[in-house]
Amino acid sequence: MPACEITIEKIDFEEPIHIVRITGALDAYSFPDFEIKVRDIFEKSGRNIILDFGKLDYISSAGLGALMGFAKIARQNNGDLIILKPTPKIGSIIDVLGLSKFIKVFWDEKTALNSFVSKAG
Amino acid sequence: MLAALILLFIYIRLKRRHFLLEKEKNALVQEKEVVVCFLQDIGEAFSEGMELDDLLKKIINCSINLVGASAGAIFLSDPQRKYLVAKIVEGIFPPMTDNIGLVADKVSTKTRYLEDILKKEKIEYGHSVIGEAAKKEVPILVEDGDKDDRVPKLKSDILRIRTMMAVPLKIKNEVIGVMAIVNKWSGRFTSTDLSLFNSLADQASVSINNARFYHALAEKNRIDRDLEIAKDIQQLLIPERCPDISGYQVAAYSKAALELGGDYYDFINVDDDHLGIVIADVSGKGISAAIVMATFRGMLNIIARGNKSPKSVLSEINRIMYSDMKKDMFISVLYLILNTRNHSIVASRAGHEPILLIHDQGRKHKLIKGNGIVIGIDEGDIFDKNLEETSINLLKDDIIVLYTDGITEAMDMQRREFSRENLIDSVMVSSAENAGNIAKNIEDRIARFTGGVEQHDDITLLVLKKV
Repeated sequence: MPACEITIEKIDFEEPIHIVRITGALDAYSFPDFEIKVRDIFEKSGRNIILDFGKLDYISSAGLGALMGFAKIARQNNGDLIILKPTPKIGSIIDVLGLSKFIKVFWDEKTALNSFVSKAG
Repeated sequence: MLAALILLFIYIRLKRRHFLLEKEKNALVQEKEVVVCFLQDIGEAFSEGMELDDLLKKIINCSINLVGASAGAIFLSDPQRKYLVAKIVEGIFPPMTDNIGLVADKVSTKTRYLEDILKKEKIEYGHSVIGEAAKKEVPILVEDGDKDDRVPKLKSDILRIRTMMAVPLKIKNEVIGVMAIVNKWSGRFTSTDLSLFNSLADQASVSINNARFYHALAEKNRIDRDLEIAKDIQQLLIPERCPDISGYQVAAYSKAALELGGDYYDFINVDDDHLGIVIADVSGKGISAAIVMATFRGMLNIIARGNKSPKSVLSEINRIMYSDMKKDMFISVLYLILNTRNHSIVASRAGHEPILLIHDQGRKHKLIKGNGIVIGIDEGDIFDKNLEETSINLLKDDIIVLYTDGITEAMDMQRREFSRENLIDSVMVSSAENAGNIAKNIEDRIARFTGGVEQHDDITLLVLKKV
């Protein structure tokens, strides 16, 4: 199982947007670190998060469940949490589970960023 | 004459030397006997399956008696090895700091009060004789407590430390605590006493390590037994055999990856003409998934009876279970109601794998994928809005296959997945067979594909064939 690497990029729009890029696998071992990083963004009043899944090979079902919880926190703070470029495999899992009804999925970064701009506008 | 005097002098020196060696030998023999006796006592205690606290008590009591001390205590380190706390205290063992506000009359009347104070006291590594023995990892002898700054000078005479010894307890070169004794019955502790006490501490460390290992093993065995019982209970929740349905063949199997699984299938008599068929997958595995699965099963068996709308059944279960489920858990469910009179099916798919329908005498296949989201992540409105009901009319030789993702995602050595395409192909090539053989063919193909690679997810399969 590949290890997991998480990097965070902060983009300064009218309101900051944090892009969390995840490489490898989000499983029971790597999820706690991911959770700490996302919670840290929320606690520092960041409420707009893009999760870049472009290089994510695997996510556990419990991990997907927790993502739904993060999306709810973001929305409670009038922000949003969206998924960018999931691999066909992960995209298909999100689709089968019906999670795309809760969490927006984008396929290119520009459109994802604009979804926040148009919301702010 | 002079020669005689020299010889006499040499004789006396040798005699004295011999006497000292003899004394030293006797001391060593005595120490050996004491250690052997100690080991026998501890060994007996250990073979009786004694609790760690009782074992520590036995160790300190043996040490007190063998060395001839008034009181003793065993202090254990915290996991970070920053401080020590008294775990076992025997006799009047004074606190190691003199600023803890002892009430003198209570001390003289209640040794229990003193013991409680000692057990609450956190002794930092490096502080007092106890902390120093732990930090420097060396035995410490305080011959005269009145002249040693490391020893607290408490007002009460009963708490006066005249002499004491403290030795580290080590397991694999790591200090796990300190054993200490105070005040010899007569006189002061000597280096011979320290040597004996240190030997006892070494043996005590081994016994403590063994006891911890023994208890960890016993705990593991207890958990294994509990899991085995839970597994048996879970087996009872899954149908022992598939029901006989006139005009149909049914086959199913389910295999958990761990002792306890999160997959589930069942048949529910909705009414005389309607049979409910359910397959579900709880996110995650193990105990938490098994509990959620059992709760879901109980609820379904109550709500489904008499209710011919799968959407309404799943919607009600979602509303009830939402608040009781952990935020990262959910259940994917496929619930079908088969009308055994007119051979139609109404199905709702709450985020589960779609229904696989093989029709036209095994020549065609179709994935029936009505909208729906998993149970447990929305309290109701979005869930209800998205959940659809889909109808299917079954003709002769039509085959319905329900499965969990453990089937399509079963992995081979190169981490390639069995895939839905392989599942479809497995059913189509054996579509002329009965339901049992179709299920068996899928099971065999998965086994051949994975080639003995350990199963990483629960797998469940259900085949229904109209005959």
